[in-house]
Amino acid sequence: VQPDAELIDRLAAEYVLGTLRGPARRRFERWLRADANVRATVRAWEDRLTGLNRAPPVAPSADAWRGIETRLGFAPRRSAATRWAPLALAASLLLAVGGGWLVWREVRWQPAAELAAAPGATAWRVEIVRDGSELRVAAERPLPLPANAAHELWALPDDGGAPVSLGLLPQAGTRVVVLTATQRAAWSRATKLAVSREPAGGSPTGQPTGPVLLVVPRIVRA
Amino acid sequence: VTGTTVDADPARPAATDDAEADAALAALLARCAARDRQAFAAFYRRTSSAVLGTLVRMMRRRAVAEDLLQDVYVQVWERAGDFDAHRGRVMTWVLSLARYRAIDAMRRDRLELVEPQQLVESMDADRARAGDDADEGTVDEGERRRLERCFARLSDDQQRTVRLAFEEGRSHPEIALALARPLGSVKSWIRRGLQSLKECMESCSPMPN
Repeated sequence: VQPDAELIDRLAAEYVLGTLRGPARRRFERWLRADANVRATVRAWEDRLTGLNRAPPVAPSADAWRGIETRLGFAPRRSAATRWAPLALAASLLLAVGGGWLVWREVRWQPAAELAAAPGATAWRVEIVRDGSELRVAAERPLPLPANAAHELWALPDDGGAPVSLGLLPQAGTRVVVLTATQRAAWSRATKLAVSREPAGGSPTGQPTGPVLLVVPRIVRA
Repeated sequence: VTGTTVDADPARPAATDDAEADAALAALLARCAARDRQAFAAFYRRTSSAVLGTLVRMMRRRAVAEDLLQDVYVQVWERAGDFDAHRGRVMTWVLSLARYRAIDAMRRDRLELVEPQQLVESMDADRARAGDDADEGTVDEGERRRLERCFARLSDDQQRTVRLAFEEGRSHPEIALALARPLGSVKSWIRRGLQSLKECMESCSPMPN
């Protein structure tokens, strides 16, 4: 049953004008959604009356747009990015500084000795930092080690004085030794390094007790 | 890409401007339907002042109007695909959305009435400056002139009640109260006013698009 066109037109007019209120407006809206003919009638009234709009434009505040973005889920992503930006910057700075420090740490090492039984058969590689404060020993093809034994590194003073222990050598990987004042003094006077086999844990006397396996010259740089 | 197509040339005649501006808005709206956020932002920049103006006029409170403005543009984003460029103007569509939203809010919030006398005075002031000060670019100029010519033929009571309803979003009882006239008279002024308006506008042949 098609309600008469005049009624549709009258209701559409008052709907667009805004004077159709309450339950009648609700009912009309349901009808509007369901009926293309009613929609067309409403559109015609919108076109007719829109020229009555004489309200002067009012510029919205910035909050209004932010509110819309938030409600549509646009803003959180951006505001989260904004919130984390300083942290990200700090992190990347830290990475850069840390990376730089690592690079610097790496370049400050200089070769100090090749502990080798024969040329090309390096057992350990010894490096030292420029100021002589730390020693780094890397196992390459370390000498075989019996059970309950350790390889100990010695600085052999040039003047024939007693050897000074520079610590135990790793059988694998790298070990960094922070040198004591005594060790640093011995290092600066030494022209040779020696490796002895000692009981596990190192020499009990502070002097080499086992066989001396290697004696090599220390690389001296200007 | 958008900016070049949307910006109207101020040297062009107004009617051409309007049609072009509306076509550009329709293009933006189509991109909104395709979930283009930049197009949505551009659409907002171009239309939000007119929409907020309408909402402020109806709600009379800026904060309330701005809340509704957000509702309107959330709806614009969600319903951009509903707009059919072949059947109407974008500004009519978005301003209608805004008006319906405002009317719903009045119903919901039972907005208290502005003093009746104040309402009538503001309306009379509007009428005094009508024509020279209308917001540009939102309505086809030929359509507007036809509306004005036909609107002028209505009786004073019809003009006044239709305007109060449309511009201020007032209900029949509110208008009756504001004008201190019987509710039945207000209803019949409005009904006959709308009817006369339609007959008059249909008798002047619409300009072909």
